[in-house]
Amino acid sequence: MKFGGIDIGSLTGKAVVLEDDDVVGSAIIPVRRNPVLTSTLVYNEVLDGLGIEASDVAYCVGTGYGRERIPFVQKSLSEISCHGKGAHFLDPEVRTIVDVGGQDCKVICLDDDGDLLDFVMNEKCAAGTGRYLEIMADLLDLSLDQLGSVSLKAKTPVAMNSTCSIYAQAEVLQYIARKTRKEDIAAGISRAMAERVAGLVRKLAVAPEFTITGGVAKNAGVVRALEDILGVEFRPLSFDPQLVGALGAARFARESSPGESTRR
Amino acid sequence: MDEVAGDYAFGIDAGSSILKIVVVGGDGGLASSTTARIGGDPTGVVGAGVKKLLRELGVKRKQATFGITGRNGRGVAKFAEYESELSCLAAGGAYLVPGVRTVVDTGSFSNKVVKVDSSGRVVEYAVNDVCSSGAGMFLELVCKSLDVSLDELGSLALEAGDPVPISSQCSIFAESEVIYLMNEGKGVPEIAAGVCQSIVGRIAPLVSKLRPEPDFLLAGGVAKNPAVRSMLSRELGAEFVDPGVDPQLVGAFGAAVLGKGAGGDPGTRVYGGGDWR
Repeated sequence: MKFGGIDIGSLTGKAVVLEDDDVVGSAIIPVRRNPVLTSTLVYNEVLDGLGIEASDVAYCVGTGYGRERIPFVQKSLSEISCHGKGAHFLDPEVRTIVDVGGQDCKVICLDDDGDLLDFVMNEKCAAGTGRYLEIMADLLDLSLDQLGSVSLKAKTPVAMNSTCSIYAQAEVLQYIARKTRKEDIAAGISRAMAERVAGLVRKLAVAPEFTITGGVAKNAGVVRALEDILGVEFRPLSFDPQLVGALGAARFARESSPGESTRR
Repeated sequence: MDEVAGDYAFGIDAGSSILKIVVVGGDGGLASSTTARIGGDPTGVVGAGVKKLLRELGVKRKQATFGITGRNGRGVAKFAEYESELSCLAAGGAYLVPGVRTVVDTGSFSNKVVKVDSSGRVVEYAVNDVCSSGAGMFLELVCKSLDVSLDELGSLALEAGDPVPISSQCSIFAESEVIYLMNEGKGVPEIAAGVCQSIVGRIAPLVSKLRPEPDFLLAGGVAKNPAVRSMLSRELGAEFVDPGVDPQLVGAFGAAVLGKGAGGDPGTRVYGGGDWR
């Protein structure tokens, strides 16, 4: 039996299809004009890849910023629940999930059974979210992927004094004007980003084991800086960290499907 | 009225984006002024601005005193003494509006509120320079999204019907929210009014925190926005006194008042106050 999970974020749309416990298809696309379009396109991409129709999927759950506007799902659930669900499914040892998405950052704490204990979220300020990295990568004329890899080559990372993305932009422009090495600026940016995320992590009584999800989890520079600041190691997941929310949604779909015996 | 000790007192305010220079003449009045974008070379821009004014007035550097302030003011002009931005707002405010007790300054990068005593000194202050959501940069970014000039924003907002509230606090998120609102068919004047309300919502609490007293002076580039001015005035229940000059120049006036001679001679100072206008 097949189950779908759709995660419509601020910058990307993600879809996962499960065949019982196994992921059989997934896709990530940049957001389109509206969540209706984004969700339809990303879901169709997965369905086409599998050569199946929407009617072949027993149950589908939506999540993310745009979840209320996905036309074809049976149910929608919060990102917090879905990220918790997905991470617990991938690694039951995980108690703290740091999810850094395109326009927000969440820290989610789970109990031993994978149920939600507590969470904190920043969705008010671009600093400490993927948007911040995107702006900075643009200034340095690097792709988001390059920003991470370039920053790992730094010898003397620059200090960033500003929190605000706007002020940080001015600071980076000054470094560029002074012909500071790109890798040192990139590393300073990663560090500043990580400091901001760490501030959010410290607001909760967090417990090991830790993992990181969301698009920013793919940025090695930020991940390493965050491990360094927090003094922890993130457990690597056996799955694309950007798809964890969609995976969690698909797991919920499986549990919600009337044809399935509910199992935690 | 009091005398100016030097022939000319230069006040330089090298802010985060705009350079402002005023020259106060021997009669205590504004002899000349200039503004320029700072760009990437504050030293060069300040030097050029001072040179331009010296030439225009036919004055030698030795005949003048120089004070400098502003985020970009440190270390860019050896001939000028650096004075803190807060001291300059207080001194400049008191010089232009002798009864001033509260100066509210909104520049492109920060909000400052200074309570001033009767001799133009800082009594108490509050500053926000960590978040751009209450600063001029917020307006600049949103103007780009709205495709209107910074000058137009305020007059558009005054024409508006019910303001469209902006839910994002962050400048970055507001930038995209505004585009979304336009796509939803909301009117540009109504969005502009929402934007002005949003920045006022960030400035007002900073002012209220200090239990401000009249006279009130609104300084900085954002003070030129009539909608922000009237909304803030309503929000605080305070009337702003007209300084009689471009409100962006208040800090530079303060630098002129506090500046010293080229040799650092403490005897050459401008003493403020009076109806020099």
